[in-house]
Amino acid sequence: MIIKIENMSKSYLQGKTTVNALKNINLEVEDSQSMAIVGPSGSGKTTLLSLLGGLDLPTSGSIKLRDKCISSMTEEEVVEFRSENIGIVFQQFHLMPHLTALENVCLPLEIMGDKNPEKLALEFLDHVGLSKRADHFPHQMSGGECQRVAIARATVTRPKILLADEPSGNLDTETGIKVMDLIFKIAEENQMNLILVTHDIRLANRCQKQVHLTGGLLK
Amino acid sequence: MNYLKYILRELKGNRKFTILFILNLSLGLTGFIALDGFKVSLDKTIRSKSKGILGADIGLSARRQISKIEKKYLEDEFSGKFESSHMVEMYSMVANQSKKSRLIQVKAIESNYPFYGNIEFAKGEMLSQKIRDNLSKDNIAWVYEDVLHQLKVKIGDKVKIGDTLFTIRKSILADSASGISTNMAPRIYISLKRLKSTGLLRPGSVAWHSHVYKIPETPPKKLEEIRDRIFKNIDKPDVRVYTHENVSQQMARMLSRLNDFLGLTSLVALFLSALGTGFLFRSFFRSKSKQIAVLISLGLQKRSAFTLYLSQVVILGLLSSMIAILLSLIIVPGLGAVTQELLPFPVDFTIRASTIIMGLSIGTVGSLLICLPILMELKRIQPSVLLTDKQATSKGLIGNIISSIPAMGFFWALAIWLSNSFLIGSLFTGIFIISGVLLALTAWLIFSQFNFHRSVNKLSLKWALRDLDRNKITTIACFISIGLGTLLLNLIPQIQKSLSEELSSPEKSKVPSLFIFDIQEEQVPSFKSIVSKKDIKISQLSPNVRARLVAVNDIAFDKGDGASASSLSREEEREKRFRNRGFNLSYRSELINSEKVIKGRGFSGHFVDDGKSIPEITLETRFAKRLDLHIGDTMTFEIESVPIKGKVVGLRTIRWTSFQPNFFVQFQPGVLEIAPKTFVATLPSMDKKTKQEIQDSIVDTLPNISLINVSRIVERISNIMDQMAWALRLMSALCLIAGFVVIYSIANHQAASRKWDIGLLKSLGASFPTIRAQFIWQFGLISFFATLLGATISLLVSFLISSLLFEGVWAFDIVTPLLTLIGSVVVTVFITDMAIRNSLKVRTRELFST
Amino acid sequence: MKNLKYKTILLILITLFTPIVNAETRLLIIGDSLTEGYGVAKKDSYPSLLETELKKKRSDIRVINAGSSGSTSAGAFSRLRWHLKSKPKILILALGANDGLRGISPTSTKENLQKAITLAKKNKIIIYLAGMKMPYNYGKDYQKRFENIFSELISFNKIKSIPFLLKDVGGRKHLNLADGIHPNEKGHSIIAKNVASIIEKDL
Repeated sequence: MIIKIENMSKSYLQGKTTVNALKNINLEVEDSQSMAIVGPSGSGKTTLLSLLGGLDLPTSGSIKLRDKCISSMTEEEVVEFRSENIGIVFQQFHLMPHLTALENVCLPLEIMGDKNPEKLALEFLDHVGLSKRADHFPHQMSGGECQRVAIARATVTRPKILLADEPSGNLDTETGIKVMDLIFKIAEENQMNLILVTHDIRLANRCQKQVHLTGGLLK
Repeated sequence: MNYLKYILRELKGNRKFTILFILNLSLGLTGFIALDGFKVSLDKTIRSKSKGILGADIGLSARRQISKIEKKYLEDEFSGKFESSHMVEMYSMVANQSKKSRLIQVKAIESNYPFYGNIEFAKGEMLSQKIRDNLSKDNIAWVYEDVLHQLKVKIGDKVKIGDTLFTIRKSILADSASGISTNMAPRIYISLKRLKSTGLLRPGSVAWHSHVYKIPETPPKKLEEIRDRIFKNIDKPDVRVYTHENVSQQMARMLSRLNDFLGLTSLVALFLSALGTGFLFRSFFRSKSKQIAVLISLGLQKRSAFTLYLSQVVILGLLSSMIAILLSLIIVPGLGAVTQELLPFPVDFTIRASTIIMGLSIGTVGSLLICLPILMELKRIQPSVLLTDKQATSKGLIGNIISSIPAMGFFWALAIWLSNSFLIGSLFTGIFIISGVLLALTAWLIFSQFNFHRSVNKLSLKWALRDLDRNKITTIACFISIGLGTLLLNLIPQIQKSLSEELSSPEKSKVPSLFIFDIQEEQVPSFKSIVSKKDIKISQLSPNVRARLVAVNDIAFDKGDGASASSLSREEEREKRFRNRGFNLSYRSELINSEKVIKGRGFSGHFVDDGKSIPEITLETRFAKRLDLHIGDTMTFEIESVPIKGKVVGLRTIRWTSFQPNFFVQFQPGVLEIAPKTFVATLPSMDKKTKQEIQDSIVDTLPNISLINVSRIVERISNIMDQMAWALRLMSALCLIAGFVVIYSIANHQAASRKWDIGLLKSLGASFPTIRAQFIWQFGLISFFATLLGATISLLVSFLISSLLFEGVWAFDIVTPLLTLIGSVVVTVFITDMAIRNSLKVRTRELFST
Repeated sequence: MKNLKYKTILLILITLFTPIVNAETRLLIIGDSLTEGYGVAKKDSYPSLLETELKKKRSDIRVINAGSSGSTSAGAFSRLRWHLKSKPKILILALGANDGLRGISPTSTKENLQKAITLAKKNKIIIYLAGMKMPYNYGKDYQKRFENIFSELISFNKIKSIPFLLKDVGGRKHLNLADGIHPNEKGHSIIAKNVASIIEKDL
């Protein structure tokens, strides 16, 4: 079992009121399985995603990724685990604005201690069809290109889990489709578990498993 | 739309940012206001001491009656209320009832004198209104203690001044007013009303008539202006016009230096706060560009957006300056109360209204102008940034420079206003801008030109260097801010060190108490034995040879061609008299410890006449400057008609606070020994009894020798010097603190603004130590190089300022620059580390949509 | 040894004297700031003007200005002894004013001047003693005692006198510097004329 969530809840304070973002979630994802999380805005999709990415801690319950309970790890352990096992693609791309496409892709490799990451990074840029754009800065590229760089960056370390947060949400339909194709292709080729957060039912249907969130409850 | 509501909502929404921002800005402004508050308080306190020496603000004196017209010249200058007091000072032989008489300074005063300062009588009694009033009610005298001893009289006895007997009512232990004439003899105060009966004041008498004034709340510069104008208007060379500051020439010099120094600290504080404000607002607006785009996309006119953010600046600035004022109102008197215990003198710590207005205007108008270049960028913001996620591009260097002209103009004007001098204000602003450019160039060169990051293997360092290179504008802005901050905070201690060196007075035991002159050569042995019998060591015994300078480089030195005085301006007249005055030469084989050769060299030893050599001379540097003499010049003197030639080999400075007799012209030993001469000597401080015994036996056995009891005046002046030195130290410490506060707020803000990057790196799995190391490297490097450069520039600038304002008094001080270098790096690293740790703790979800 | 060294320096100083022509008639004025010409150029001081004045009568006269500001009668003897080397024929002794201003006892001033007079007499020098006056503010008693020493010395030693050096100058604003004490150029020229008219008879 690659992902196992048991009785997990998450609440946080907003002003003076407590918001119960997720309530008693139980979820399992098998190896190489792709899963879509769908639901209306405010249903807790993003919260679930950040908990899966180890970017936040649950209020109660546990999250096991590859049989390791990340909800009980120390910060440092979570980061190390993430570095090796998780790649994230954001809706807003979040490329480092002051780094070139290639340098952005190099980042995760450098973090893992790779002294000569350029070759592999270039290979991945080539994968997403942007080897010619290697020396360009994010502001010199289109949105679709930026997202492809972000995909290359998220997958260059060949993580087991790829988290994607509305990857096509900021793109036009045509580009969006191309980007999604690319994500599915890479996930499949590398046998990654793709966890996709989306509004789009058609996209969700391309995943092997779908879960629906409403008001913090899993259906 | 309701701007105010929107602004408040936005500020509230970004509560954390708003609080941090206001905190940082108000800290910077507090630094300015507190510094200015301290400056004003110290200045006022020290000045009031100086007023005590004259007993008034300003005065007119002449060796004759001062006419009503002359008085009116002065009185017409005072716009508001003033008080005046008339007094007469003269020397007279005052006798006791057994007809023993001694030279006494008789000072006849009115009951309102002195306006400032105090007189302390025996048994700790202080001058009171009742005592003042009683002086004129009868023939009463208050006498200095020395008088009692010299005339063998006690309180209640009568002394004869001129034709009249006066009863001694009080003996004076301490008197803040030394007056304007030299105190050759101890003083007796009588009432001006009673002076007539003595018959001493009549044609053929030599007496100083003075009219002194109290003009409350007149700034020192204004007093000087009044003095200069009256000096011009009363075109009579025999009338002296002086303020309390120029009673003593050295005091005047020191006070004007103190004034310049404190003016500088104000400038430093101003620029420090401008720097902090500028940096903070700059980053504030950078982070706002997206929100502005949103508003524009929603249909808001650019002009309205402009107004909206302008108002935000004003509100933030206003809030910050109000907090700063509040803080200063607590800090300044509070710190005053705390330091009162440590202070050698009481200081009334208050903040004047103009400082508060200044603080407010820097916080609002200053902030606005500083933000103007960034606000101008609003014009370039296109709503498309929202869709493309591209950052608004900066308009480049030239545009930035042009739009920052109003801000520079504003601070330039403030600098001129604060320093009260166009030259100093402009110079300071100029230095500031030039240093900024220099820093920018260096930052650009170091971090951007060498691509160091390509050759570095260590990940955190590599990232740090790459970041610095890629974020050029931010790097340079940060570099300039820290560099200029360091420059400013170093400048004041550097100058302070130089000034304090001159102010430092010798240990109390070495300060002279008796000044003795006209010791004949043949009297030296008996003088020495009198002193050594009392176990006192002579501090200094110097030969004094009177000479006239007749030629420089074999060209006759006589300037006056007998032209009538009326054809010369008063300045020319004074200069001519100075040049034609005889000079006191001396000889000494070694420098005394208050002297320092600053140019050329000291003497090569005893003069050996080989028929070709010319004896060596060293000159006091200011004297040399006044007579335009340089090393290598020859000077021909005439000593009682005998010519003697010497060659200038060195220039000396004399630390006058040693209060030792000093000579403008010193000859090499072996030249003047046989010339007719007298000796001057100083004796160190000693107990009252010994002093009286020495005085008595000198008067008995060597009657021609004159003794001046200088302990009173020396004590008073060195007291003021100590206070000045203390003020200098305090101000420079405060400058250091204010500087660090600004560096702190820059580092803090900078680190906080990188939260997003930290979150992203974290999501990519970068380890905490790597992230921390990267930012520490980044800011550590900026801070190190910026501080290094800033401190180096500060050395140069302090040297420049010293030679411009303080007659080249400059002492190299390595401690402060080193301290700031270490301090600034440590502060930056510590702040960065703290901020990064905070950011790391937050499990960011902000990276995701919604 | 020490003496020897002093002698060599003495020689230097003597050789530094402007050309010594034995035929010259030397008039030595030992005095204070008045004689020194405090505040005026050397050539405007009364000794220089006196020389010009006297040269009209005798071309070989030379006036030696031994004025020294602030000096008192205490230095009169040693200064005269030093100047004896240039063999003055006439001496004007114009000291004592500073003694008075400093409140030194008139007895002491008188003794000091007497010592100098005795030395001059021994060397067969014609002596003129310049009389000094004290300002009124020093008190009548002191003023009188002080002024008396000059007339006493003159009659006791049977020497000549310049009754009051600052005659027609003292206390006159337009003839004095701003300090009201030291004569200006015009003042010095009046002093020179006064002194010349007294001394001329002896040339």
